[in-house]
Amino acid sequence: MKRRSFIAGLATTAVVATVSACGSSSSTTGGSSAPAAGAKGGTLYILSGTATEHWDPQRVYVGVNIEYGNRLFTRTLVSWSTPANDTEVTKIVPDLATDTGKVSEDGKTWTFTLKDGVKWEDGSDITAEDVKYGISRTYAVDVITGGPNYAISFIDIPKAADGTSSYKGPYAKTGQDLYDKAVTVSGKTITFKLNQAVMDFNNTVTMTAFAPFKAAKDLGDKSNYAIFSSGPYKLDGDWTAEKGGSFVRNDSWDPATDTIRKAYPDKIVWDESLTPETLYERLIADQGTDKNAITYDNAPTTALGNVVNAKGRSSIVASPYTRYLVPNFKSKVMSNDKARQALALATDRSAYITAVGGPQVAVATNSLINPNLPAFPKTPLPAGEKGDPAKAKELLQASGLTLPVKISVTYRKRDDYDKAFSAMKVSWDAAGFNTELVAIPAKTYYGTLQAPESASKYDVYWAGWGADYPSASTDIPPLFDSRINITAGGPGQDYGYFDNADFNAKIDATNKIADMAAREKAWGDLDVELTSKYYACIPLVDEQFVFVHGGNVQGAFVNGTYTGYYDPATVSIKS
Amino acid sequence: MFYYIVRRLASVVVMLVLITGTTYALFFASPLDPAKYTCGRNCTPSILEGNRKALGYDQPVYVQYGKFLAGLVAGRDYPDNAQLRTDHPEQIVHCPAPCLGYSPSQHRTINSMVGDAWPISISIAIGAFILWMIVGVGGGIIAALNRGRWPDRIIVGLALVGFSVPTFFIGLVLLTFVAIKWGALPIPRYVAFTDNPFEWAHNLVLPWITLACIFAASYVRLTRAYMIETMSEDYIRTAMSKGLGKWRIIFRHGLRAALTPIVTAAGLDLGGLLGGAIITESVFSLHGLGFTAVSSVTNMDLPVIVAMVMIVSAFIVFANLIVDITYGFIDPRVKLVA
Repeated sequence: MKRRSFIAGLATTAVVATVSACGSSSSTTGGSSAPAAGAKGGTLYILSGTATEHWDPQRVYVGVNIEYGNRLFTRTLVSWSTPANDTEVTKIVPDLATDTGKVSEDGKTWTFTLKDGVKWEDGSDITAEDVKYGISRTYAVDVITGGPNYAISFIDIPKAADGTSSYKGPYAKTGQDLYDKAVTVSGKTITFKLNQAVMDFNNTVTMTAFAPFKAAKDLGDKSNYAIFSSGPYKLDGDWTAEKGGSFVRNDSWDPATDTIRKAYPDKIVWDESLTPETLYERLIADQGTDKNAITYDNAPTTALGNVVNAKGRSSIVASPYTRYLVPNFKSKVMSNDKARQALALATDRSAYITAVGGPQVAVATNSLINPNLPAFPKTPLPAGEKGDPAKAKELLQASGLTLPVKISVTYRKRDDYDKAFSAMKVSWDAAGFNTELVAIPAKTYYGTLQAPESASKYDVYWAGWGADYPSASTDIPPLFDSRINITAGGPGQDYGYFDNADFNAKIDATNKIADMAAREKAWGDLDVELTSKYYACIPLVDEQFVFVHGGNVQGAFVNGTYTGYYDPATVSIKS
Repeated sequence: MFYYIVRRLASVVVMLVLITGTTYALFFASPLDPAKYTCGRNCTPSILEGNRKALGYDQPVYVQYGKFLAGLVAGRDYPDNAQLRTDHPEQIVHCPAPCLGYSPSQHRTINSMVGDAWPISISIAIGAFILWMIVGVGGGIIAALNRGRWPDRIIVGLALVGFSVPTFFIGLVLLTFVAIKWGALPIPRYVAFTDNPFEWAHNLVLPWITLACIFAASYVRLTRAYMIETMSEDYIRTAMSKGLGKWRIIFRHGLRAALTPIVTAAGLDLGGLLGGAIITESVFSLHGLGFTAVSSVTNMDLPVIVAMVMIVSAFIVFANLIVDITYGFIDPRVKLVA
């Protein structure tokens, strides 16, 4: 979803070898700082031009906010270890819990036990009841908006007649008994009863949506930026949207209970009021307090040429995000198998890559699953990066449709996407399509795709995705399982109304595979079916991230396994 | 004079009501659905409807507008949900009068947003205003008194350059070279005047120069033109022939008469700027009223858009009023008729 992820924490040499063999895993430009023992002290500056929508743990669904929130002030039952370089595959480790969870044989019951000595910033104990309460907030979909809905999907609570959960969250309390039955607490132990086998549920709970929340501090929407810390830092003053805030040490945090966070800086100043262009000018110039700065904003195209000047302070890594096209199976044209195949064959990925900034920014792909995930099937491009309009035209002529075939293609409005789609239109039109491009403002883009009326208006949609955690179970089902997506209210995230019973049955079968490697391989096989059998998804590119940090910063390494950004848990300031 | 001011204030209120009403009407006449902008990617029809209801977008425009006006007088509670108010009063945000509204994208009242933003905009506007008035009016007087000679040509030439270069370019050059590369001045951030007056000024020097550049250029030309015109008036010749001193003639008789149109322009410019210097604030990432206004348009944040339109209008309307009143003091030829 908005989040990202990557190689399963279940890191194995084989996984690393697979990813390396793909040739598209993380790489560095002279790399980040060499590993060095961090020193306590100093102020770390986090510079950004991206406004944080939420800090309420149950509402956070943006990768960087999940990672930074977790590292600074929102501990979860389980989390990801820290990397020692930009390419290290990190693994799932206990955080608030004593281990990474115990699963029943059928994969439907998970149990976690809290460590002793874990505390909130006011010194009170973090309890299993706090975890239970935190997760319950996800069900208050009228107040706690924006977060992931894995709890609603997985926890065994019956659905109401309208398809929503029978439990309405801790404010309305409707169905509270159902929730209490599905999530039980005994002392420091919390047990989840799931409605299906979820063999990687311990990956799911690494998201801050599964973090504890102290009921007495719950102010609903007013809690959006009211950070109540369980981690090494606490908010000093207020957080202001589009500006940021400052964090100081949380004296109630006990490092003995935490193997993840090094918490080197004494203070963290988070400034999200900048523009990416300005902040990269500053980071590359490396003056004053900017020497102590990191960012999570990807370098803008205008800064790419100057990143070379930040020697030893830059990282170029595979981002978690894959961009793809979705044919609309409700459209007369795209319900035709040959038309979809023709579109896939004619797609000119090289034009897209050139328009968005070149190979430093994006790499062509024909897999929905990101190369950083173990399930990545590395499906060959159907006709090279440039596509084959001539062959596509033959297919279109054989489709029974009258040429030129009019199609409308939507994309999220952005200057470089305007150019990218104009360039791809040339190839599609050469194949016999008559392409109409529809640019939709970013803020309403996905809402428009999910509106029922869009099914009869558009033929092809652009979309983007990053796995929520390092399993393709957060790629394939959320996007192409029609049963959890398509309702009378719209297609959910299955924007193209792909609805295939065989495919859904294979999803169920894959979910039940206990062995991680076999399960991920099965997800990869389903990816190949989507892109090369059904043409329900036409992958375009995997995006790259380019980051720069200040010269006084040590231990800034991209945690690709977690979310793909510098991991603040190990960052220190040279004294 | 008193009745004149009362009459003008009454017209200001009517004008603001009309402007905000028009903004509401225009916003809802557009094909965009403001509730969609609050829904995020996990948007389901039920969440969309829930948001629409919580934000009051499900009600007729006149009802929403009526509530907005009532909030200005009596304050409001958010969200507008009686059940939640009863069951969970701790979750209700109270916005005291004059309540400008609540921003769903910022999760706070607009009063609080404006409270944060206005000192920034006022600081930028006042400093730049002083700078451009000194440079612009001073330069204009020197150019007028040296008409046709080299000081005139240099000043007019520089003014032309200043007028031609866009604000964002001046701002970016100053930021990139003076602040980031050379480190001669700090990268601007807002420090409250009351916290540290020196840091306040030190941090705002670059925005002041940026903003003043374009205004100073036009004031040089304006002042020069009016000074040349005034200095060729008969009464100036009379004053000279009576043997009055050169500077007394320039400042007492020439500049005072030339000032009237300059004050008009200055008042309106300052009034407009108090509502936010959009480009300067954006270039230097200073989150004043201008930045807030742009951000609200980008996010289709209706309550903030309406509030910003009202604030900017109010500044301009009041600036106009002050200018009109000031006329009477500057130029004895202007008399107010009650």
